[in-house]
Parts: sequence; C-alpha cells; structure tokens
Amino acid sequence: MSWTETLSFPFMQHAILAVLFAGIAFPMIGVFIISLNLIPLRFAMMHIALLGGAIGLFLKIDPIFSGMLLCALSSLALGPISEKTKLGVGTISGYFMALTLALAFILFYKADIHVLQAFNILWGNILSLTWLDLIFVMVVSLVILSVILLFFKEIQAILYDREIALTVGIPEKLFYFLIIFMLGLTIAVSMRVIGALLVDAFILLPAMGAILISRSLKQIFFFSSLFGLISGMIGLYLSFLLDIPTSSTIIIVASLIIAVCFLIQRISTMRKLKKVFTGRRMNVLMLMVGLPLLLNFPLSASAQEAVIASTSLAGAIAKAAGAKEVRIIVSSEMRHPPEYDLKPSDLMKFEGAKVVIYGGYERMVSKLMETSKNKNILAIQINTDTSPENLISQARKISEVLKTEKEEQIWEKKFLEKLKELQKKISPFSGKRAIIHRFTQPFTQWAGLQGVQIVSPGELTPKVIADAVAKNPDLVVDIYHVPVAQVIAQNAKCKYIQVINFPGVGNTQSLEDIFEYNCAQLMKVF
Amino acid sequence: MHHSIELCDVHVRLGNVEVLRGVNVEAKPWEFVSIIGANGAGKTTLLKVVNGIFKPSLGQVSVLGQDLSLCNSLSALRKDIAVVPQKPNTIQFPIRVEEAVMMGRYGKVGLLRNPKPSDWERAYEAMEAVGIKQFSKKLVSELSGGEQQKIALARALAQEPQILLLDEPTTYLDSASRSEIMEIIHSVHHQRGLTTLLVSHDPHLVEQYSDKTYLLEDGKSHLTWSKE
Repeated sequence: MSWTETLSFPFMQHAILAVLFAGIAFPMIGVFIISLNLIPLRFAMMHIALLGGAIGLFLKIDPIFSGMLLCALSSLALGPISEKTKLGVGTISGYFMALTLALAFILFYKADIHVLQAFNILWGNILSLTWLDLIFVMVVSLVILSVILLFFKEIQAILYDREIALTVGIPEKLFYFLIIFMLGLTIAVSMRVIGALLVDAFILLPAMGAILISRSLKQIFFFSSLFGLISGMIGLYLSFLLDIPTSSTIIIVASLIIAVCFLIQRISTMRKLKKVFTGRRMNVLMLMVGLPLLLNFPLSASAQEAVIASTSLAGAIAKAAGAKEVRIIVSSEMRHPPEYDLKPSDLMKFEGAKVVIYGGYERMVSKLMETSKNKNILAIQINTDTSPENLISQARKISEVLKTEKEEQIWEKKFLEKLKELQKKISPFSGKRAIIHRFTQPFTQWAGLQGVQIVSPGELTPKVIADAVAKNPDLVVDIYHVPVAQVIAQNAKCKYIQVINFPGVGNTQSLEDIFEYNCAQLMKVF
Repeated sequence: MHHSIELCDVHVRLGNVEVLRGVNVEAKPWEFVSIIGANGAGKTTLLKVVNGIFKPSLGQVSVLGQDLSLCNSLSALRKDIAVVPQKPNTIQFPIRVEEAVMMGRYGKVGLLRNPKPSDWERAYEAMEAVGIKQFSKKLVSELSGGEQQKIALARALAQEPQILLLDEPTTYLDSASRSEIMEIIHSVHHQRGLTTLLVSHDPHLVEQYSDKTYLLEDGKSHLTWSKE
C-alpha cells in the first residue's frame, strides 16, 4: 500500500491534522518552558493527571475527563500558590508531583484498582486519535496561537524579564499565570491524547532547536513551529515508510533538527547560513524536503489479517480456538501495555481485520476500533481469567464465531491431557501453604496450593506484610508482570516463585506453555 | 507643591527580618534625590516600596499624589515610574536593542495594541539620548555591560516617566563608564524634568548631582544633605 493510499484512512487523516495543529502550536509552549525554567511542571502535570484519573475511577466517572479537569484546575492554582509561597513554580511542581502520586496510590489501594489499569488512563498515541481527541488538540492549539498573537509584546517582556514587565506597567502576574495555565493544559491534553513520549517531541525539542538559531522572539516562535511541523510530518512519514513506532520516529527527527541547529550555531559563517535558511530560500528548501513525501513509497507491513489479538494471552486463546493466523498488537515482552508505542502497521492490521479479540481493559484497542475505517470488524471481548475452565470456555466462544469448533475440540482434548500430566508432576506440592498474589489465583487453585492469604496488586501496607509473615507460609506465589510480594518471602524465609498469565516469557507461546512454565517454577524451588 | 514621592515612617518586613524600620524620604518634582547606604542596608527594598512591589507593614507611601495603600491600579501608576535595575538583564534571550528599549513603551501602548510609529520615535529618541542608537539592530547579548546598562536607561526614558528610580546603575561598570552614565542620567533628569531617586553605596559618585541626600543605616533614613 502506498503513502497516498493510506491517507484515505481516518487514523492517518487524524494524525496529520494533529501534527498540523500540535506541531505548530505546542512548540510555542516549549519556548515558555525553557525561558521560564518550567520543566518540572511537565512531570507534575503527569502525576496530577494520574490522580485525576484515580479520582474518576474511584467515583466511577470518566477518568479521562477527571484527569484533564484536575490538570486544568491545578495549572490555574500553581501560579498563585508559587507566588504566595515564594517557592517558584519548579519547586511547587515537585511538591505537587509527590503529593498527587501519594494520593493517587492511596486511592488505588482503597478502590482496589490495579496500577496498570490506572496508568492505562494516561495512554495516548497519535495514530489512535478520535474526533474528540482532535477537537481537544485543536482548541488548545488555537488558544495558544491566539494568546501569543494578541499579547505578543506582553509575553516578550515577561520572557525577557518578569520584573521589567512589571515595572513598565504590564499586568505581569496575570500573564504569567495565563502562561502557566496554557502550559498545564497543553501538557495534560498532549499527554493524554498523543502520548507521553510526544509531549517532549512536540513541546520541548522544536523550541530547543529554534532558540539555538534565532535572533528574536518572533523567530523563536516561528522556527519552533516550523520544526514542530517538519518533525511531526517527516516522523509520521518515515514511521510509515519503515514501519517503526511513530512517536519515537518523530522524536528522532526532532533531535536531528536540534543537531543541525547546533551545527548552524557553531559554524563560523553563521550569518551567511542564516540567510540561506530564512526567507524564500527556506521555502525552496522545505519544498525540496517535502516533495518526496508526496511520492508513493511501498509500505512494508500491511498484510490483511483475519484475527487480531490485543495481547499475547488473547492471541493464545484465539489460537486454541482454531484461528489459523493471529496477529498480536502488544508484544508479549511488554510488561506495561500503556507504554506501547504504535506503528502504522498496527493500524493497518486493524484495517484488514475481520475479528478483534480483546480483554476489555485495553483502552488502546477501543480507541483503535473507534478510529478505524473498518466498520465491519467484529470485536469479541473475552474473560482473560487463566483458570482451565475459563480458558476452554473462551476458546469455545471464539471458535463459534470463527466456525472452527472442530479445531477447538481437538485442542481442548490435548490441553486437558497436558494439564493432567502436569498435575501429576506437581502433586507432591499440593496443600503447601501459600501467600498468593490475587492475579495468580487461577493457577494456584488449579495446582492445589492452600492459599493462606491473598495479596492485592499495588504497594503492600506494613500490616499486610506482617500478617502474611505471621502465617508462616511455605511459599509466596507472585505474578511475573507486576511482582509485589518478594518482601514477604524474604521476611518469612520461605520459597518464592513468579508465575505468568501471559505467554511470552521463556519462549512460552500457547496456553499449555503457560501451565508448563508455572509448574516448572514450582518444581524448581521444592 | 506636593511631593512626587513621600515615605512617612515606613517599616518593611521581609520574612522574619525587618529591613526598613522607620524610613522618611521626600522628593519633589524635578528633584534629584540620592539614598546612600552600605550593601544590605535596604536600598533596593526602598525602591521596590516606591514602586509598590513591597508593601510596608507600617507607615505611609505616597507616589505622584496617590497613597499606595489605597491605589486600585498599580499597573496604571507604574506606567509613570521607570526603573533602571542594578544589574542589566543577563539572560541570553535573543532580542534586539531597539526591541528591549521599546519595552519601556509597552505599558503605555496598552493591551491588544501594537506600538505606533510615534512609539518607535520615542524609543529612538531615548536611544539617541543615551548614545546607543547605532546599536539599535544588534542583539542585547552582543553588547558590553556598560552598553547594556545604557539600554536599561534608554528603556526607562522611552517610558516617558515622571519618576525615575535608579538602583545602583553603575555598579558593574569601569570608572570611565560610571562617569559617562552619571552624566547622561543627570542630563536627561534636567532635560525631561524628572523626579529622580537614585540609590548607591558610593557617596562620591552622587554628591555632585544630588539636590538632596539621605543616608540609610540600620533600616532608618537620615537626611545628610540638601540644597535648600
């Protein structure tokens, strides 16, 4: 499939529109961050968004909006609080970062929310934008551009010297707080909508390059927007051409632009070069760079797949159900799916798919389906509990849709035989007293371990650890993907194993492999 | 005639320290008043009190006939008070000299308005008055410390203020530049009929220009010399 053909897909149209708006407007916020030394605010906003999401999950309202709302309110409050306390926005951001993270984790604990599920609310990717996401990006971009165009001279004075701005009669505090508000809003929206990786790519990197080569604030704003746009567009295109993760590619392009700016700054004939890189000649240069982008290049990975699985576990169940070829979106090695950086080919898989199998907790999948041009896609939500009974039941459910009941029955027989064989091997350990991570319950019950205490995902409290140690267990069974309970084993001086629910670790691929791997862990320690 | 600046028994507390403990200073229109004091005597604090940045814990401050504690719009009042800071701006923000000087007009130009040709004329007149017109297109960061101090002075003049506040304007300059800057300040003070309040740690530098001199010591002011 060619580049121009992919432009007919909504995900690509949305990505290009987002690059157009965010690429032009967001780097201007980067100029504020660098000039006013507000980098810690970016991290504070990330944690404030997490707390907002936690509040949303706790109160059972949309965590995305509660996250963004809290970011907006916090950025309104940050400026005045830093002025009152005379601590500076950087220091206050550190305070907010620590406080909000602590509050978020208490809420997760109290509401029994899995940390990964919570971080999932921060997942965003430029290839999975919905219309609502785009509207957020556009509105924030237009606010930034309007404020800068309307109040350029006031902003110039504040970035030059806040005290001078104050002494010449500019309402300096008002504008400073407005800058902080826009900054908080931009970070919140971009993090949530286009992903944490691209926050830096769109906000900071183009501004850094522009500051290196510019001779006025107007030039800084102009070049930062230009670099944001160029790195976004070229990054998007290269990511398509080479089928590599988009956000990372945009960052690489933006970094290369900074390197070029640094060279321009260093070259002794800087002024001559500046003439080349400005005005009409710059336009010609851009045209030379841009023209090849309009040409058709082949896309390396665009095979049309019948079954798409969100994770390796969903994929293994689909295979068990008799699906011939299954394509998995999130790699089995990925411990934390919200960090997954999409490639254009992931989206193309969606466009060609007939069936998508997912667990329901992957926000990424619901967003991808929403943005996909393919409206005939059949989504099967499965229960990903790894008890043998549930796995069989889910495989049957999928096989009915795929019309592969025969293949499923053959697998079912083999699967049950394998489990019988494994159960024999681990029978000597049946009845061992175990502290069990909640996510390992399906396996431990099947294995016949005696669960004396169940620990939840998330940070353990001193009481939970003390209670567990006091139960004098033989074994602690932790989960490989989010281990939390090693401290109990260390203090109780007992055996410790990590088991898996998702295939991928130790060359595991199938559902049988999961049980074989977990039994091997058990046999290794006794 | 009312005073342009009048401080009556002003006390200022910064954190736990009372920096000013009963300051009385008066400056009439067209007067050149100097405040002399050692480093840390509270000279800069005093200027910030006049500009409404620091509020006194006790006492009264009146500027251009307005009691600052009752003033509704300090931003509007500040348009008539220009400040030349102790240290010229040192950040390497790329900005041309003419733009840095034009900033003095921003308050008067007002929100949502662009500087008019007449504003640029004022800025160029100010640059000419302090002798930096030839550098107008250069970047501020490309100029020497003395030249940057002149930019700060030109910005203050471009503001067309009634009051000029100078905070040790010659600290970072060599002796030749010091005299040159002081001559320029004195000359524009007379030409423009300003009320000038200058703080310095060097009594010899200001004595020949001042109409009145105060000594700031232990947070208190003492009138040490007056032409009247």
